[in-house]
Amino acid sequence: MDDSNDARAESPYAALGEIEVTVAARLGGVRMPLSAAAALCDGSLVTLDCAPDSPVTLLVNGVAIATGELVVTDDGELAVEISDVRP
Amino acid sequence: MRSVEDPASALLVRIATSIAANAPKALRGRGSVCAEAPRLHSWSPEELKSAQVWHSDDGDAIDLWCVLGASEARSLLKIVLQGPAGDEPTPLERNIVRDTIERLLAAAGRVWEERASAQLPPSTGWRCRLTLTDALGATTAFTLHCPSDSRLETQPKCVDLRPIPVVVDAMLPPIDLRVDAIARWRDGELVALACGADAVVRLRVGAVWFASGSLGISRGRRAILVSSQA
Repeated sequence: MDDSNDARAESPYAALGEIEVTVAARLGGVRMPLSAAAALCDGSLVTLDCAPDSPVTLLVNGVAIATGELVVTDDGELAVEISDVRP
Repeated sequence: MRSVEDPASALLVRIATSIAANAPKALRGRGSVCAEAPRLHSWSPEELKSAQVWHSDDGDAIDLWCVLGASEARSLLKIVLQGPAGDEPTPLERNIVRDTIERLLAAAGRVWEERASAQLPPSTGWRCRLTLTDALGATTAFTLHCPSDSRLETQPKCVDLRPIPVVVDAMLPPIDLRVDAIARWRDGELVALACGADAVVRLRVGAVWFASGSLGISRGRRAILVSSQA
């Protein structure tokens, strides 16, 4: 049995495993009046309601699936080290 | 019946109040002006016969008029000259009247121009009568007029959305992943985001992206320095 068959055996979504979905990392958010959001321009600073080391949320097609720590890999790329997977 | 909150009426009150406040200075301390509440009125040809009329349109399509009847002009001349005036004003007397009215109207902060009385729209409009009284109690009056079909009346009230709270989300650039790859996510798994530490962070409200910037820290919190708007 090859790797793809292994994966198919493990996943209940085997038949749809090849589908691509969009994954986005949410760094945080902040609540503000509409007027303040509309007034944002070059040089504005938006301070989020979270500490620099707060977990980020991974959203799959807009749905929160997991949270984790934002890290920089040895290649200098951003990555999320998952700490909590939503069951 | 029209409400007293009609915008044209409110505009007349505002302008009349400015004129009244500035009148002692415009009349060089020799009189004062008080304004009546605006009311709807249609001008008759008799009222406008021999009247002097001024118009103001500062390019904002707000149609404002000032009307000074012939008998009121004579009374005004008596007040200014401190003496009797003839039935038919001379060109000099008309200039004195014009100068006095224009000094009073200047308090409205608009440009006024004398017009032929026939140019005054015949339609019903708001009229605000201002009475001028001198130190001896002599009185005269002039009238501000704003047609009820003025642009003001057609402007609907705007909803004030400024204080409405919204949640701004800061998002890293999205990536496409296969479902079977996501299905293998476990604690400790590293999900590469295919961008560097200098990635452009996008700001959104709901599903609308409206600005972007760079990630940083401000006052001990995650922060985005905005560099462009959608």
